[in-house]
Amino acid sequence: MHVQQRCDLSGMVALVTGAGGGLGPTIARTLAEAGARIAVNDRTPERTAAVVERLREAGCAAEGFLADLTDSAQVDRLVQEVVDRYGQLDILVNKAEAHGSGRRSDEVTDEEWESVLAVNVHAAFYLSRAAVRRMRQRRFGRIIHVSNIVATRTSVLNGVAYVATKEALYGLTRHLSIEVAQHGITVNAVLPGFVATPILVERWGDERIRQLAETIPALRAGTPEEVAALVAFLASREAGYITGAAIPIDGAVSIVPGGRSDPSAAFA
Amino acid sequence: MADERWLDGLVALVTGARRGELGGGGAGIARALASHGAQVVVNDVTEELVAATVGQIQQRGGIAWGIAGDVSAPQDAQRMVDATVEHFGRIDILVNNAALGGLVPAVEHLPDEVWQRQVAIDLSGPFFMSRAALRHMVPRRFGRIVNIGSLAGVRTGFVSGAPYTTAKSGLIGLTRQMALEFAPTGSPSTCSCPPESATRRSCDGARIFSRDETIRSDRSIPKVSLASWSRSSAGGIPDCSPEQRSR
Ligand SMILES: NC(=O)c1ccc[n+]([C@@H]2O[C@H](COP(=O)([O-])OP(=O)(O)OC[C@H]3O[C@@H](n4cnc5c(N)ncnc54)[C@H](O)[C@@H]3O)[C@@H](O)[C@H]2O)c1
Repeated sequence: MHVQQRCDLSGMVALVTGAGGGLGPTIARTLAEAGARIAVNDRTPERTAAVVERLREAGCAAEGFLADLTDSAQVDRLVQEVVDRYGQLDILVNKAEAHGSGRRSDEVTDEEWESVLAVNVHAAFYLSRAAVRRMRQRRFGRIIHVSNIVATRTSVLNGVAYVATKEALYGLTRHLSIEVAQHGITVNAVLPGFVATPILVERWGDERIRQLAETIPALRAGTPEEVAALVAFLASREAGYITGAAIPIDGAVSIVPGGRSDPSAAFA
Repeated sequence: MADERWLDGLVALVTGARRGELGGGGAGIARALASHGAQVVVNDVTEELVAATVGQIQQRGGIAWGIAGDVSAPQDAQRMVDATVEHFGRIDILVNNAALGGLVPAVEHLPDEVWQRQVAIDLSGPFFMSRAALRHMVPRRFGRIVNIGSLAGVRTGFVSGAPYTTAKSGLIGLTRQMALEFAPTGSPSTCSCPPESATRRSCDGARIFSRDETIRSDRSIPKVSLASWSRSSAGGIPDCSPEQRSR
């Protein structure tokens, strides 16, 4: 794989949250193939164990770590455990996210608002804070939030809590990038558009995905491997001058005049 | 001048509008809205803070009423909006101005409580207030929601920390999504400061808004603040004309 040739992550340790679903396994595997040792976390022990097993079957060095990311004490403990196990933390890929109901703003409940905020904003902060404390000591770090292109637009599928919290996450990305730039730490967000993850392919079928692809300038869905390659590059030493950025990887869907940033809404 | 009173008959709720002349941007916004004819509900965290702004507006012949409450508490937000409707019979304009900023430690030293409180007031507060207001605006098919943003929401804050930048960024997403949901014909055209003008507005704004003279000499401020989103492009270019008030 080209990524292996270009991005050398050997000797590095990466923590990937939300690793069990969607793009998670591909990202974890790509980082492992580039040489990193991988700590994975997902919201249940089962999901975490399943992705660890998949990674090990593929010959990757991976271990699972449990924590509720919305609890700051558990996040501190998680990062401590990773450092205890591997001796360091170089890369944080924060892919855990909460979706919204897609209800109209005036019908969104307190519970929805708070629970989406807890994962998409508070957990991102707790993780970043704990990671920075470690990364500073070694004067190297890569924090990568896997967000969503709808962060820059609107979402019929996910609604107000999701869009507001994803935009907020970009604020955190920008702010933290300035604070830590002098310490060799970069902070970026990756904004995938429509990506054909296995679960989406299964849920929607090839025909729907083909129709959807017609609304995208690239005329196809992205692949998990393409997103993982971008994450791996941002994690590499070569990407040390990219920071505070939110990088779309969406086949240009977000820049079409009048285009839908959330094409999947057509099928909601 | 007749033109001066282009908000006649409309009811506006302004959050974080304390201390009259000694206050910040919110008090200036409340005075400006009242001077253009709106009946204004002044909110801040305590009765005393609110009373100063109410008194000042009334002294100048404006109509104002005060309500203390915490925008970051969902029940409080609903209570304040309901009380506004009870008192004046309606709510047409909501200005989400209340916010908490200021210098905070760097992220690695930032305590949970500081983080959570600023995010709650600066991001959840406008959501709770808007949701409560929309419940009255939607059935009447008219409403204007103005979120006071910040340069921090577009870039980063100079004298503020991670929670402020994060929350003010989220506020832009909140604004955009609500604009999409309520802009189409058949729903009230909820409107908001476009992020960029909100930014300029609040940078000079805290100064400008606190002086009615400036408001008078620069009509573009209330106009832009009360901008309504164009119907054609959700999240697109706002239509800033005051005629948008026509129902
Ligand atoms: N002053 C500036 O330079 C500047 C720059 C950019 C943006 N802004 C924005 O402009 C707006 C006004 O700023 P300001 O400078 O007048 O600040 P300010 O502190 O004078 O006003 C904010 C008000 O909000 C109130 N408030 C705080 N928490 C509250 C709560 N939970 N419920 C109700 N009220 C609450 C405060 O009591 C205060 O009166 C804010 O949204 C701020 O973020 C200001």
